[in-house]
Amino acid sequence: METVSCVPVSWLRLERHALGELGPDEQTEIAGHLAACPGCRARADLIAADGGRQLPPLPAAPPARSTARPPGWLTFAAVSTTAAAVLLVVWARPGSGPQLGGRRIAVKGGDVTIELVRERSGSIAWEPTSFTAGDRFKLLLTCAPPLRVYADLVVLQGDGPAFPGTTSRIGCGNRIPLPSSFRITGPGDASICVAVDPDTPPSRARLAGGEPAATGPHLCLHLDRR
Amino acid sequence: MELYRRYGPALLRKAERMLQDRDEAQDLVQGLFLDLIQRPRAAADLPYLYRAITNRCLNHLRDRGNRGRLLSQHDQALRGAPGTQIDEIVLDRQLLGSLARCLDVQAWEILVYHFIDDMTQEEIAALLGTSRKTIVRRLKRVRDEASRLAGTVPATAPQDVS
Repeated sequence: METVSCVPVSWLRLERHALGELGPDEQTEIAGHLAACPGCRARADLIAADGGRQLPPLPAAPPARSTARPPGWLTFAAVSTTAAAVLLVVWARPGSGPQLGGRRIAVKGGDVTIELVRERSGSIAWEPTSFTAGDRFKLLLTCAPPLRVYADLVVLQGDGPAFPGTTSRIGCGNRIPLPSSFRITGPGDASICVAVDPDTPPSRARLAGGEPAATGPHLCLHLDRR
Repeated sequence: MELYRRYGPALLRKAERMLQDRDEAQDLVQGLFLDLIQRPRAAADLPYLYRAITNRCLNHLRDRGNRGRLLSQHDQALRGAPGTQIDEIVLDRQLLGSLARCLDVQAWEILVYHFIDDMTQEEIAALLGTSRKTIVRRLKRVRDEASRLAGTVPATAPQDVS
């Protein structure tokens, strides 16, 4: 086979070629290129070999938006003028299980709704009450723009606190995921404590102390180990 | 969701190339499609989604904490040989992260398309809806910054061959 000087075909074109989405002329052009260019053919082979990969299913019907959206959403302007005086702490009762979907943390500037999502062997569960080894979790925040909040979370188990990610500053919107997903790897049941603050990053030292120590807007969720 | 089934694997491969972390890539791809479920778009074809996931990855990398974590813990299975270069400079995660601090958002996006996704200047211009001339100018800036950060100065002015 004649060796050609290979100007790489972009990954996007290779992906579209594999999907058969290009026009007939372009499909033919790329097929000819792949026949002569080992480098690009290797890439195309990678795409083909990866074709059987199964992605975790997306949730077919996420919880209704009405429970996730803060009640102050439509009256954000009015709320924001008076919210400076409003600082509430939302406490979740230990052992009562997560009551997500409606779980709100009131902060200066509006409410922040917290939702926990669990992925287990490709299945997505909203508002889980338990976990097993290997589960992966994600926290979603819903709040009204233009509010921006600092958010952090700690996982508390028998072996002490674990911070899965870094403190993030989130621009508000619908179901904004915290950057880090996490797994629960310690012994026994777990409490996940989430803190949000529009002004300053939450104190990790206090957050690590769980409900008794934490100050500022936060909530703690309890998950049973199965 | 048909779009997820059809395009999810391609977007996951793309996100993995950028992040070199399978879990993080999967999270970002799922987040993209969860948003699409809530705010469907009629014209969500692969080029549109490719750009959407690129920007999500860049936002993710731009976060200082994420960048540090990905640099120290990225998935070894995805690492492979560094096949991406800016001229003679290997564009590894470290350099990609460093470039985030000295390039504007669009230049960083163009860098990814050209040096990681191997798009031609014409492809990038079409994707971004801008002129090839703009892409050429932006790529020169990228090369200059990469050379400066890598501590090398090209002996000759780099030539755009694509």
